[in-house]
Amino acid sequence: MQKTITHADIVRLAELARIELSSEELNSLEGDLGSILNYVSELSTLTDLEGIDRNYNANTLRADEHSEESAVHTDILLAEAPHVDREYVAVKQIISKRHDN
Amino acid sequence: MTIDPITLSARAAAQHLAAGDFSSRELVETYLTRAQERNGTINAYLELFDDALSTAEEVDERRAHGENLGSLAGIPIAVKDNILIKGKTASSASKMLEQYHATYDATVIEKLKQAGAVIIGRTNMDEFAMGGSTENSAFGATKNPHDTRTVAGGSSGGSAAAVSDNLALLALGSDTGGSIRQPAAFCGVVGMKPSYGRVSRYGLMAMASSLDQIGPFGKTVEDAELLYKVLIGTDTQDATTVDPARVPARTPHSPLTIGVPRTFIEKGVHPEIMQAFERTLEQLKSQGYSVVPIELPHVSHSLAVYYVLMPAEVSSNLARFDGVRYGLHVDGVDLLDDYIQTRGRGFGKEVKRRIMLGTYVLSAGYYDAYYGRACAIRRVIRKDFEDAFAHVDAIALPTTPSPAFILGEKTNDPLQMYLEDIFTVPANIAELPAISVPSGTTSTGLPIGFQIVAPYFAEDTLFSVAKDAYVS
Repeated sequence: MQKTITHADIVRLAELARIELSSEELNSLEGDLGSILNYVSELSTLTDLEGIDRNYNANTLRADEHSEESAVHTDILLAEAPHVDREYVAVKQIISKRHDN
Repeated sequence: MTIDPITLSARAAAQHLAAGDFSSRELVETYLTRAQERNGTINAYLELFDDALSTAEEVDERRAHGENLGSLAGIPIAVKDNILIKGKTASSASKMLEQYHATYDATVIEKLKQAGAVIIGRTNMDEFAMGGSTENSAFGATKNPHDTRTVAGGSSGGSAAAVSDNLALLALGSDTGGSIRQPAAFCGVVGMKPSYGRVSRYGLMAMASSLDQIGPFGKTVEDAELLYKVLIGTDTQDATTVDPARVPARTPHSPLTIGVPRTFIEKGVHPEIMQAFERTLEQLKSQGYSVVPIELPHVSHSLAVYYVLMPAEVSSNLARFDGVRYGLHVDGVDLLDDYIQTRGRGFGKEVKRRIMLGTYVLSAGYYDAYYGRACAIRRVIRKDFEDAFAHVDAIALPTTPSPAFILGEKTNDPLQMYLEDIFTVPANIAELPAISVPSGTTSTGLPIGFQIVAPYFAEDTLFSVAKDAYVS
C-alpha cells in the first residue's frame, strides 16, 4: 500500500476526475496527497478484520410505474441548465476526434 | 417587547408565542435585525431571506384563527447552505453553485415548514462540507463569536455561529465526520448528529453518502431535541432511512453507565479540555451515573478509515458537477474540455484535493488495497462499539483535541486540519448518534465541548445524558 505518488499519477488522476489543474496546483497536490496517503497507509498493517454489518433497512423499491405526470418538472429543471434548446438540455458534440473519451 | 427575545431558548420562545406575549413577526424581526447588524463581523449568513417576515406573519394569522400549529411555529431558524429550499439559492458555499436555485424542498425542509418554522436564511459552510473551520467557503470564513480572531469550526460553522451569537434560535447543519459537533464545541452551543438512517438525506447535497446526516443546533439540549423530533422519520425518497421498529430495543443498565475510552484520549488533548472533561465526569457521577474505562481497540484507526471512505464517496458524488444540468458552466474547446474547465474553475482547493484522493483510492489496482480495506476496518470499528455497549449505556470523550484555533493557523497543512476530527469521526464510521454539549471555557474564554456517543437509535439515552452533562 505504501507507494510514493508521482507527478504522472497526479496528472492521470486529474484526467480521470475531469479537473483542470494549474502546475502550481499539481505540485502542491503531489505533496498533499503523498502525506495523506502515507497517513492512511497504516490501515495496511491491521490483520484481524472480524467485524459486523448493520442493516435494518427494509426493501424499499417502489413499483415500476410512473409516480408523476410526465413533464411536470421540465420547466423548473430547464431553468437551471446553462444551455437549453427547446425542451432539451444542450451540450457540445459527444463524439469528437480526441482518443481518450 | 419587554421580554428580550435574544436571551430566550427556542422552547421558551415557543411558550411566549403560544401565550401571545409577542408575535412571530416581532420575534423574527428582532433576529433578522441582529443578523443584519452582526453579519459583517461574523459572516454566519450567506443570505437572509426577504420572505421571512411574511412567513412569520402567516404563522401569526394562523395562530389568530385558532389553527393547530406545529411545534416550531413562528421560530426563526437558519439552514446550512447545502440543504435545498425550493426556489432559494443553495450553493454549498461554492462558486460551482453560486447561481443555482433549488428545484425542490429537502424532506427536512418540508418537515420544518409543516412544523411552522420560519427559515430566515442560509448559513456559511466549508465548500461542499469539506473542512473543519469554514475557511474553505468560497465566500469568506465565519468568525467565532466568542473570539473573532478564531474560527467558528466547520463545516457547519455558519449555523453554529448563528445560534451562538443569537442570530437564529435554532439551526440545521450536516455532519459527515464531525461537521455539526466540532463547530458546536468551538462556538459553545449544542450540536447533535443522529444515528445514520434517522433523518432523510433527500435534498441534502451528498458529500459521503454512507456517513452524512443532517442534525440540529440549539442553545440548550432541549432545543436541539425539539428540532431533532421534527427532522426524523423514514422517507420513501431516501432508502437509507430506517424504521425504528426494526431496531432491537436495548435495556439500560442500572445505574446508567458511561464508558470512557481512556487509551484513545490520553494523548494530544489540550490540558484545559481534559480538565473540563474530568470535571463533567465528576458532575455525572454525583448525579448517580457510573463512569468506567472502556477499550475500543480499533477506534484510533477511524480517521484513516474516514480519509479513505469519505474522499472515495466524494469523488463519486461530485462527478455530477460538470456544467451540464446546473451550476457553473465554463466553455472549453469540446465537451471534455467543458467538464475539465468547469470543474477546474468551480471547485476550491480542498474540494479538488479530496476528489483527487478519492479518485486515487478507487482507481484500478488500488481499490482493494485502500477502499476495500477501509470498508472491512469500518466493520471492525462498528463491532468495537457494539461490544462496548454491552457493558455501558453511553460513551463520553472530548469533542475536539483543541479549542477554536486562529484563522489561518491550519490552512497550510491539510493533515493538521484533518487531525482535528479525530474524536468526532468514529461516530460517523459506526453510524451512531452523538452530541456535543458546552462544557465551560478555556482560561482565554474559548468554549469547550463534551461529547457523548450512544448506541444505534438510542437518541433517548443520548439526550438524557446530554441534559445532565451540560455545563453553561
